[in-house]
Amino acid sequence: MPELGAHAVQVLASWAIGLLVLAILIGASIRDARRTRRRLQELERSRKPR
Amino acid sequence: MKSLWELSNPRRFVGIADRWLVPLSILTAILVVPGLIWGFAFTPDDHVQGSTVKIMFIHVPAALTAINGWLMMLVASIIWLVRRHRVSALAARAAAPVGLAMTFIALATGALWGQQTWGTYWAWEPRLTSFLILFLHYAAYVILWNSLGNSDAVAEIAAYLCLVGSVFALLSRYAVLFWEKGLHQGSTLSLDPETHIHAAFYWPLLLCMAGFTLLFVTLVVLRTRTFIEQAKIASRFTESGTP
Repeated sequence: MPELGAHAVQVLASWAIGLLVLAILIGASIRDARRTRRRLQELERSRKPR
Repeated sequence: MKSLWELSNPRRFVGIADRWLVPLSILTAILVVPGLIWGFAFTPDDHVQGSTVKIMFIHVPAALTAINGWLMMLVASIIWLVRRHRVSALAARAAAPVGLAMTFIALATGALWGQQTWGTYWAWEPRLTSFLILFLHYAAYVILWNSLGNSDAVAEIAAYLCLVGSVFALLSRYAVLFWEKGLHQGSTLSLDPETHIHAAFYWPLLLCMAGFTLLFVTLVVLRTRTFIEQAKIASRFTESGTP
């Protein structure tokens, strides 16, 4: 952990905001992609002629 | 080499996305993770700004990606308006939340950085104001798609909104050249050695900028594929008459 001195709060807050927003964005995108693909695969499986 | 227009075929786009998403994600991680760690932990304090200079490694790549993201949406919107390729409209839709998040990060980190360097969180100066308007355009664009659903009419309105917002994206980028009175500094990276930032900051910043750009591309590809598949699911339900 680097020495941030008097500006530690601002620097850490900036990084926390940035990383948190990125994590939410990446997580939500992956979750939506997985859910959609699973749903499509289930749908295609159910439509296959037996 | 295959034509770029092949991407306008939804099935081909999904195939290409499936093939490229893993390598793209790995390459993004290879650039972003070391870039951020280098910027945060292994760069010296600036002789004027002290440790607040470390905010730059989040702020600048996010701001760059926010502006370039809108310009990518502009190209996709023009393709939709001119050639009616559905994938281009979906790509613009997919890019908007990513751009919105990047704009938010740039505004929030910029406010915290500004408080330390200018003594204020906010000033109504050209670059900041045009960036705030860009943020509002991003928000309006996302709300428009999410509230009105996935139709050609919505894609059309969204494309025109994108054309209007592009003025502010360009202003955000070049405001410091048009008006010299703003608080915001000029370009961080320059070809002029006099105004160029020190190498200790330059390389990690370049790595972060490349990483954020690739992160944007990866997320747009992933989200566009999701929208294509959602449209496919919706059409299957319509075919079968199931709600």
